[in-house]
Amino acid sequence: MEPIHEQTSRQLLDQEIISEEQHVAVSAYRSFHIFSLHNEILFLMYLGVIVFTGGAGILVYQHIDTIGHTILLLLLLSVTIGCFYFAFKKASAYSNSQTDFAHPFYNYVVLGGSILGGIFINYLEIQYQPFGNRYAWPALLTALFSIAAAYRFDNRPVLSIGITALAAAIGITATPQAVLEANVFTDGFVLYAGILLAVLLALWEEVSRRESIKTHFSNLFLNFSIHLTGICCIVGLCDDYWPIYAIILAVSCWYFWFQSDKKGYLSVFIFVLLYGFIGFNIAFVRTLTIIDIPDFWAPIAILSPIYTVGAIVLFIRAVKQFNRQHS
Amino acid sequence: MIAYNQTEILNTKRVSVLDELKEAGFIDKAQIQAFEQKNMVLKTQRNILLRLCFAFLGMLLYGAIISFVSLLFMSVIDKNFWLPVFVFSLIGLGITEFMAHSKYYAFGIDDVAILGFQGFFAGAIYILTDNSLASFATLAIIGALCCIRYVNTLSAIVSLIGITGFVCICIIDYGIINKFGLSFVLFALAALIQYANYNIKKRPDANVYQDALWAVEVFAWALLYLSVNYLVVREAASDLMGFSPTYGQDLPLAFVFYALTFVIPIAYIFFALKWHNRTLLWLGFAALGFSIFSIRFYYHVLPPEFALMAGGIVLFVISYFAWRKLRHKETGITYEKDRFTQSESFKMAEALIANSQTRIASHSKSEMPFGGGGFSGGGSGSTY
Repeated sequence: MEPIHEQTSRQLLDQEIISEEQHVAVSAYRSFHIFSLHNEILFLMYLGVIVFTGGAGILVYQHIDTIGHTILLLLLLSVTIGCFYFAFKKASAYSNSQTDFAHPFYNYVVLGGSILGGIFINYLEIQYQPFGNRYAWPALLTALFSIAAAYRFDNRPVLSIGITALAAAIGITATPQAVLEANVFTDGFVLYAGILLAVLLALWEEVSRRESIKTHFSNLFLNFSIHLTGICCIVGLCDDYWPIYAIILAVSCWYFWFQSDKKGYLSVFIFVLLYGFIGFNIAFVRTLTIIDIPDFWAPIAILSPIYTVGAIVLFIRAVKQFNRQHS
Repeated sequence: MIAYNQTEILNTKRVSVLDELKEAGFIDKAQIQAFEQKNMVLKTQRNILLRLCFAFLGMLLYGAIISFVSLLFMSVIDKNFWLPVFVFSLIGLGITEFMAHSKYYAFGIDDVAILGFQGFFAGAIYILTDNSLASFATLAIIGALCCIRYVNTLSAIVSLIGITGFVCICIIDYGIINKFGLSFVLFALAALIQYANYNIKKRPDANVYQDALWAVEVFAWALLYLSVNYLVVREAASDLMGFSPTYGQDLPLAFVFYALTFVIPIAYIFFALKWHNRTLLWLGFAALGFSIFSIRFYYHVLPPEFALMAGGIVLFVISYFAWRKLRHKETGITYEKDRFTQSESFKMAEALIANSQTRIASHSKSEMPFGGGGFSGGGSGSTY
C-alpha cells in the first residue's frame, strides 16, 4: 500500500495544485527519513523534574520529625538557589518578546526551582508562621515568585503554577482534578473573588497585548480567565442570586467570543460556546421554575430533541464561521 | 457496504496531510482551498476539542430522544425491558445513517450515535439471553460491521474488546482450557491480531481504514504486553483461581512473567526507534513505567519518596545525554525539530500538567490529615 502522504503529493502534482519544485522539495525532505525525538526528550526531562519534585514533596512530608525542619528547609532553599543560579547564568537578558535558553533543559531547571521554591515557602509558613497563620500569604508569595520566574525565563508551565497559586490565595483550587471532582470552591464568597480574579487576568492580558509584554502568554491568561468565570457563574446560577451570575456570564461570553474571534483562539471559542450553552439552559430552567406553570414541562420534554438539534445547527454554523475567518 | 464514498473519505484524509504540509511551510492556504474545490471532501472535525464538544451535544441529543421515546412507551417498558433498549439502539443507528448520508464523518455526534447503537444493542442481547458470551460476541460482530460500514475508529476498539471478552469468558466461565493458560491465549490472540493487521495494511484500499488500523495496532501492542505483565497475571490468578502465595512461593513460570514484563517494553522502545514508529515508542515508555510500578507493587526496594527522586534524576540524566547525542543530527533519529511534528500543543500540555501536579490547597479547606496544605504534596505543620 502506498502511504497516504505520497498519494497526496502525487495527486496534488497531477491536479497542478503544487508545482514540480514543491513536489521535489517535499519528497527530498521525506527522503531524509527524519525521526525527531524533540518532544519525547523534552517530555522525559519534564517528567524527570515533576517526579523528582514530587518525591521531594513526599520526603518533606514523611520525614519531618526524623530529619529536622531546619535541615529540610536549608536543603530546599539551597537546591532552589542552585537551580536559579544556573538559570540566571545561562539565560539571555530579559525581553518583552519570546526568549528561550540555548539549552532546552534549563527550562526544566527553572521549573524544578520554582516548584521547590513553592514547597520552601509553604513549608516555612506551616512550620514557623512568619505570616502569622494567614494562609493566603504563602500562596500569594508562591504566586508572585512563580509569575516573576515565568516572566524572567519565559516559562509557560511556571506561569501556570503561578496563576494556580494566585487562585489558591483567594480560596480556589484551580487544578483540572479539582474541576473534575467539583471541588473548586470552598465557600460562597469565593465565587465573587473568582470572578474578580478572572477579570484581573483578562485585564492583564489586554494590557500585556497593548504594551507587547510576552504576548505569547495571552492564550494561557484567557484560558484561565474563561474557566474561572464560567465555573464561578455556573455554580452561582444554582445559587439564590442567580440573575446576577446570568448577567455576568452573558457579558463574559460576549467578551471572550469577541477576544477569541479577534485572536483566533479556538480553545477559548469552544469554551465560550460550552459555558454559554450550559449557563443558558440553567437560567432557562430557573426562569420556568419561577413562572411555575406545570403545563410547561410536558411540551418541553417533547420539544427537547428539536431544541438540541437547533443548538447543534447553531454550533455548526458558529464553528464554520470561525474556521472561515481563521483557517 | 461502506456508507461513504471511498474517494471522498480519502480526500478528507488527504486534507489532513495538506494541513501538515502547510504547517511545515511547503504549501500555502490557497493550495488547500484549491484542493477542496477540485475534490469532494466530507464534513469532519479534525480538532479534538471541537469533536469532543460535538460529542457532548450528540449525547444531549441522544439522551433527549431516548427520554422522549421512554415517555411514549412507558407502559411497555415494565414487561419487555429488552424492547426499549433495542429501540434505543435503533435510534443510534438512525442518527448514524442520517449523519453518513449528510456526509458528516468523524464529527463527534456520529461517534456517540455509533457507540450508543453498539452499546444498547449488546445490552438488549444480554437482557434477552442473560448470557455475557452472547453479549461479547455481539459486540465483536457489530463493532467490526460498524467499523467497515462507517469507517469508524472507535468501533474497531469495540470489536476488539468484544473478541477479547469472548475469549476470556470461554476460558473463565466455560473452562475450555485451564484458566492458567489465559495469559498465553491472550498473548497469542494479540499476536494474531497484529499479524492480521499487518496483512490488511498491505491491501491497496487500506488507506481508507488508516485510523482504525492504527487503533487496532495500539490495542494489539497493549494486549500483548498486559497479557504477560507480572502484576496483571498475578492479580488475575488471585481473582480467578484463588491463588494466594505464601512466603517463598510464587506463580508457576514466574520467571517467564518477570522477564517478559521488562523485555517487552524494552523491545517496544528498541523496535520503535528502528522502525521509526512513534506510537510504539510512547507505548514502550508507558509499558516500562507500568513494569516498574508492577514490581514495586510487590517488592518495595526503596521508600516511594527516594524511588521518585532517584527516578526523576535518572530520567533527567537519560534525557540530557540523549539530547547531547542527538542534537545537530540532520537525518534519521534526531533531536532537531521535524517540520511535520508540532510542538505548540505539547507546550500547552506541559503547562496543564504542571498545573495539575501542583497541589496548593486553598486556604479555607485542608485535605491533609497532618496539618495540611502543601505544594507537590509537601509541607506540613501541626497547626494547619
